[in-house]
Amino acid sequence: MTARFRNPTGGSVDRSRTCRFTFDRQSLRGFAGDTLASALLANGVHLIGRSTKCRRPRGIFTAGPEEPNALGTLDPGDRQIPNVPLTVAPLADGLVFASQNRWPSLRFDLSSIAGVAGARFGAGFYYKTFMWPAWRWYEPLIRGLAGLGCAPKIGVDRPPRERHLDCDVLVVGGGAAGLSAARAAASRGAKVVLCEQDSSLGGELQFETATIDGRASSRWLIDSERELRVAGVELLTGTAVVGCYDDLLLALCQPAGYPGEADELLHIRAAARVLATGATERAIAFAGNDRPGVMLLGAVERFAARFAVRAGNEAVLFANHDRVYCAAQRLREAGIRIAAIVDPRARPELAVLEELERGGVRICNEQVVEQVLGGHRVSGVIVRHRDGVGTPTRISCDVLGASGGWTPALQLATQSGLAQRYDAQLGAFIPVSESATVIPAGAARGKLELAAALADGTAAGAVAATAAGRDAAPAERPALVSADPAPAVMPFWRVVGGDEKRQFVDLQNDVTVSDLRQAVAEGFREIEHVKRYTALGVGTDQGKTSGLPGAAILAEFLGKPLAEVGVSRPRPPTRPIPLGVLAGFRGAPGTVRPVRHTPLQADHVADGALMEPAGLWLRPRYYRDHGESLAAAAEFEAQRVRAAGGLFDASTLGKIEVAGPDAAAFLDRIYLARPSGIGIGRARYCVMLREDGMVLDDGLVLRLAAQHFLLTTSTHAAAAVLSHLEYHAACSAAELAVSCTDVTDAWAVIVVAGPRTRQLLRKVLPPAQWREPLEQLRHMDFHCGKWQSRPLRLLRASFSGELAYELHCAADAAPPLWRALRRHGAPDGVIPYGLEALDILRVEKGYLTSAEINGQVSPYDLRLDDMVKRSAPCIGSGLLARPALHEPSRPILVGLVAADATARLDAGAQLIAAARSTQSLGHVTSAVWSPALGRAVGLALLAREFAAHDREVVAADPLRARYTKARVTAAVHFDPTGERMRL
Amino acid sequence: MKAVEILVEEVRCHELVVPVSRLPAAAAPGAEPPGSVRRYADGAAVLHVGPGRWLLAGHAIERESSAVVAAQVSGGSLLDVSGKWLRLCVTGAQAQGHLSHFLNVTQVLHGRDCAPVTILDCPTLLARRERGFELWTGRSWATWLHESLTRSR
Repeated sequence: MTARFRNPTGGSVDRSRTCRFTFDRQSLRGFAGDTLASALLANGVHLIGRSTKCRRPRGIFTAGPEEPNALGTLDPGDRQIPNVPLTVAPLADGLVFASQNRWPSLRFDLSSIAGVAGARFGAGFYYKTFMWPAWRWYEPLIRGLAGLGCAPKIGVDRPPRERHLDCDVLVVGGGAAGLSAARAAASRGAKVVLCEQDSSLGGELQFETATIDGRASSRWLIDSERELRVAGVELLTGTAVVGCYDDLLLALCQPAGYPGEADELLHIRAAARVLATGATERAIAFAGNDRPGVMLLGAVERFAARFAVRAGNEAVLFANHDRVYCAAQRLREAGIRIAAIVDPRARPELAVLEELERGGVRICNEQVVEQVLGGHRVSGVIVRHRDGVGTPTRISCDVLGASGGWTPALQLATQSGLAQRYDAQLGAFIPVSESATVIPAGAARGKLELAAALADGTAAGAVAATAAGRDAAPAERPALVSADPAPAVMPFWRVVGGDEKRQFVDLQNDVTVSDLRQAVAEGFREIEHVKRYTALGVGTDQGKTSGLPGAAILAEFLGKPLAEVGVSRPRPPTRPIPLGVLAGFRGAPGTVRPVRHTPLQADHVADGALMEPAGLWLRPRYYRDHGESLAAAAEFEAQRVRAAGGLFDASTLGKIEVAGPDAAAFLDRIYLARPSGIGIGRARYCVMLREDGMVLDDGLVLRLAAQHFLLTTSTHAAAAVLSHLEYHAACSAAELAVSCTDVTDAWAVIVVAGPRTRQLLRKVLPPAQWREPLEQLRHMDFHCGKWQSRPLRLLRASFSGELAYELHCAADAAPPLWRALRRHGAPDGVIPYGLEALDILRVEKGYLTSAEINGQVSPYDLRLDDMVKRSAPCIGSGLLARPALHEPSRPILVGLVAADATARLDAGAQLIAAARSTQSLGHVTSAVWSPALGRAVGLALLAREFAAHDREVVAADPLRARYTKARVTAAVHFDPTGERMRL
Repeated sequence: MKAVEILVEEVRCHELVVPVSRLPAAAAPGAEPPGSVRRYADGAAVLHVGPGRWLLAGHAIERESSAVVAAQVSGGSLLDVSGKWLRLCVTGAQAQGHLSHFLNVTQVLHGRDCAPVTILDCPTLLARRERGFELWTGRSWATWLHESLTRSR
């Protein structure tokens, strides 16, 4: 059975496929090819939702993505999709959706009581209210009422895709101008991509009754699409270009018309772009213009032509241009009785008027709609002379089609950098392009007549193809067009007089003419400020139908020309885009950022390590078999290293090989401590400064040959150090012949530390090659050799304070070497240890990490004065002399010992002189429980004037209400003479 | 033929680096500009990845030995970086389409056969090969990159 507002014939819906759907638990039917909005209208459903602030009943206003009112929630439940524009979402069998912003129901909405109160609050009321006695009294209620829709609890199963495209010419918009532009560009051999946000091509052509070159516009449309596909043009429907960024455009492909798993984000680079984005019909503000049944005139036409749906049986049309009369003819043919046409202009000289009057249509020139009557649906209008003379007249209707003209869609043009100028005849801003690569065309440039739009599109396509380097071709003859005449718009923004609190400018956010007047009275002058203060155009529709009328009304109240006031600047995206689409592939678990593995990843997991992210790396924090808790395992591992030995994976250390005829001279410029003085086979601890004298990083420099060095960096600074080296090699030291190569991934580093280290290595390393080096290597010596025919560098260095060696081996040789060390070390009690134990060992010894080298400390702050004295001038050394680095308030590295053996120290705690002091003297950089000392110890940066040893300070952590007394000591807490590592 | 196949291979590699200030006109492997790739039938390849920087894969070190020596004489350095690079071979009819989910392959390889890029935040060398592409990435990045590219097919 046909729904009561569906015409028996016409439209492009598939009447052979009935679709059942549910709206607010009401079962209804439509056809395949319907949108949710057209299906609802076909069933006579006009009440769709409630407005944001005032909870006023709302109906369908437009027929496209610029819809401010008809937003619903699909599939209510854990996976629901909120804020779906019903005017673009296609109908499918079994769809369930619900209205939003109402409780308990759409017809009986208790929250509208709050709305009644809200209507009394003008613009920006939330800046002036809800403060007494406290905001928290109002917050739960407002949070419950605010917003649109509710987010789902469960996301999509498959993250949206991304795709990168490039082409010669990108055409945005698949209407008359866009199709012409695509054909013109393709005919010149350009690679063309056309994006159209609607699910089908054609734009206004889909419901215009025009002829083009002797063919009906619908036929021309079909032929054009076929020709374009044959010419190799990539036609992307359901794809909206949402943003222009320099030379990149982002497009959202949403085949379903709403967020779903098929969504795709397209990154498009084009040599030239044609912006055939069309023009959006705009509203007029009059009392009651928010009632369900008040729609844009174009929407009434589109529902009739495309879906064979009558938005009502008896219509009043209210518009300020000639097209309203042609529209009236078409609507009469679609079965809608036209009760009246209300036109604020003088009677135009059009033959169609007489025909309409003969058909019983009342023509009301120089008149306006003063007020709309009705509650949940329009029931009639009050019409009066525009100047207020005479007696108002009541006219019954069940639908009101209103149109204030058209606003060229400027969003992408503005984002592309084009200027705008105001066209007084059109009553709109149009883009001004002097660029051959960004070309607006058609209605987007104010060419509202079909013939002009076709010609404009053709010219734009030709220019774009030429800009993309394609050959010019002879100009095409203009199409022969028979269509609606030029609209002859008279700019008209609001009905003067009447209740301004009921004249809505922005339907979604309940912004009225009264709000704009209030904003001006309160001193707002700029459109950007008024927009934000009143919420004009900040909804999901982004002010597409309300922005220009709002600016025009503001101009009237300011007494300025509209050209001077302007419109607010549109920023991307041009339509709502789900965050999941922007995340793309990164929305899937574990994909937000890369994970880097050392060559020993599998072995750590097999050994029961708790692997945790350290930057991008996965590293063992501790080994689960070593204790029931983190603290217990870390303490066990640290004690075992000091008592017997331990193995640690230090492969994440940055490693950079520097070589070339001037490598030594180059490194002398980079580091304190003069690397050129290092002997071959020796290593030295060196510090690198930034250009401002602050410490960038520390590490070891190994001299492999006369002009060949290996640098180690801290894990977190590896990329920054390489960048620093490459920059200076290319710029400040360009005359030096040197190369820097990152070899971090080429070499694994296994640290073997503890008193039984040497005997372990004797078992694992072939004696023929390694016995002598093992016996003879001094602290900071290294030896190069092989292990199982793979290169191995053995460096004697320690970060734990114990006798220790670093085994630098080829990455693929690391797993068997690790297993050999584990196997041979186990009988002697040698175990693997993780980051927590490493931290205990190095803090006990006062060794530095990024906690201390935090980018804000000089070498003096780290007590490296001797290193500075011994160094030749290098990068950053010049600025070390500035007085500010030597002031008493500068921090200096100290050790801390907790006064109470049971107390704990927290890294990050502020250091204060006494418990109630509020002046910070410094902060705790690192803190651990020390098994060796039996109490908490740490490192800190403390103001020099307070850094005397044995001074008492308090480590304050107000967030956790912990205040720990501590004593200032030397940074080295354990084995201060270093005997243990010199065994 | 599969739509997309991604295989990980370990390849013996050397890096040849010549300071830009010492770049001779013809001492380095070939006079091809940065972005060029020279391939041999046995799978060896020379990727000119940037000014003064070459990646020699497989037996390319032997095939280009005279050029390498000449470069070293000019002040260049040859490093054995075997183990640093893993090669992900992306082949199949949809290889380019699959990579286009992550970067604009056409633009990146316009006028060249290899280029340093970032794919899914992983530093990578992208190279064109017969019937597909190669992604050279550091060993520590390779596992995650391979899993991510495979999962997104």
